Formats: sequence, C-alpha cells, structure tokens
Amino acid sequence: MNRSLKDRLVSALHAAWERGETDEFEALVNPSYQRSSGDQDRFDLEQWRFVITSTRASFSDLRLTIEDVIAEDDKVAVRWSSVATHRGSYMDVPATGRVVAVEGATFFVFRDGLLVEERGTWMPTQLLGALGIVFLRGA
Amino acid sequence: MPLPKVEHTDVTDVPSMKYVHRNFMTGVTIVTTMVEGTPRGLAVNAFSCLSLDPPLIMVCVQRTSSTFQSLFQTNSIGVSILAANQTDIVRRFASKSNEKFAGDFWSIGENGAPLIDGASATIEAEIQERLQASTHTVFIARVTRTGHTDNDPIVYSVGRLFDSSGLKPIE
Repeated sequence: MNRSLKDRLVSALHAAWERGETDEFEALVNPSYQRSSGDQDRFDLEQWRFVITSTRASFSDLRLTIEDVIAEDDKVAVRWSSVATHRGSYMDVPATGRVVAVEGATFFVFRDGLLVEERGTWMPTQLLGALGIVFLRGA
Repeated sequence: MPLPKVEHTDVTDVPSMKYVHRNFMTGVTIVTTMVEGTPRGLAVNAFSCLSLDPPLIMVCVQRTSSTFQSLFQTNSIGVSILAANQTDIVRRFASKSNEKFAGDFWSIGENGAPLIDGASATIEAEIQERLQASTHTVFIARVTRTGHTDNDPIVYSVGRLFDSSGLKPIE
C-alpha cells in the first residue's frame, strides 16, 4: 500500500461525509466497487452517492474524525467516529435537533490501486439508537 | 347454558382487525406537546399504563398525524384523560385543524405541555424511548406529575363515545 493512496482515501472520506463532495472518492473507485455495512445488502457506487446525500440531508453538520488508519498489502482499515446534529428526517424519523455521536470501523480493499470493496461494521440503526429511537424488527 | 363458540379465522386484513379490536373499550386521551411556543396535540386511544413503579406510560401515534413530528422535537408531553362531557374536545383533536387550541379550555403544565381543563385526569411525562413500529411509533414516557377531577371519563367503543358515569357494575 503506497502512502499517498492511504492519504487520498482519508482525504476523500472527509470530503464526502463532511462536505458532500464525492469526486475524490469516485476517483479512487474501480467500476466493480461494492459496499456492505452491518446488516445492509451490498450496494454500488450510485447507491453510495445516495447514502452520502441522504445522510448529509439529515445530518448536515456531520464532522468525521479518523481515529486510526492501518494499511497492509491491498487493504486499509479505518477506525472512525463522527458527531452530527439530527436536523432532517432520517429513516422516516423526524428531526430531533439532538447531537449524536457514533463510531465504527471500515475495511477498504484495493486492487491495482483502485478500491473494489468497502466493508463496514456500522449500522444506520445504531445512529438512531444513540438518539433513543429503537426499530422493532418484527414490525 | 353452554357458552357460544368463538369463530376463528386466518384473515388479518384491516376490516377484520377493526372488527376484532372494537371489542376492546378504551378511554380517549389528548396527547400534547409545546414546541417553540406552539401547542400541538392529537386524540389518542392507544394509551396505556406500562408500569406503576417506575411510573411509565405508553402512547402509540401514527406517522401521518400532524402532531407526529413535534413528539420528536421535545421529550415533555401532556396526556389528558377526557371526561364524558368533553366530546367536543375529542372531535376537535381528532381533526387536522390548525385551530385545535383556539379557546380557553387548556392550561400549561409544569413541564410546559398543554393540559385540558376539566379532564378526568392529567399526566405530565418525559419521553424515554421511541419505538419505530412500521406505520406507528410507540412513545414510552416516565410520569413526573399527575392531576385529577371527579369528572367521569369518556368511553370509546366501535367508533362511538359513551358516558362512563352510567356504567353498571357486573361484580
């Protein structure tokens, strides 16, 4: 893993999640890119753009902190945390105006210098759980 | 005399569910909040005491309600258990009107939420949990203050309102 690729990834994550600018991230991605996170189905780059847009619409002041980055061979492991205010409807839950903090870890897999897979440990319902909102799975 | 047999069915569509649930009588409550100085409220019969100790209640509200969003903007709520002579209040709060609070029939509780004057009982509570259940959210709240009058409560059954003061004890 060359150092600049790792730095570009960190920079791209900040740009996407904090400012909604996806160009840096998209420049790193292989067309076969797939993302999976928690209990969600795998999804592609277009769906990733939707996640960025919809999350930022709900948490427009989101601030991302990269706590740890470990790169080895073709993989990068990122431990992150974020803080944001719940300003817009998220997963059909109206804005609460409350500040919420969540953290997680994401593993990125590169092939020939381009990102092919992203696998996160985080689930969107965790974020709502931090706001005191619980989703009843049987309902 | 033998008891009549209950007829069972696997049908769980909306008319069937309504037909079953109308057999369970309830009272009528007005659930209220105050958001940035604006009172909000709706009529709710999906209200229940969850536990006495700790003092917890639950109310269930549909997402389409005009009051739904305000129940996420504040934790402080009021629950007024309406009296039998308050049918006009039921109709007012069962509507989507913007003028629900027009008039001199309510007061502000210590927690800031509106309470209906003359109700059989009133509860002030703080929302602890919001459980997302498909089309509805279940709000679980901790009671902080209560009040009551001698006014008999209203009874709701099969889409109609009844006066509980004439109820005949069977035991």
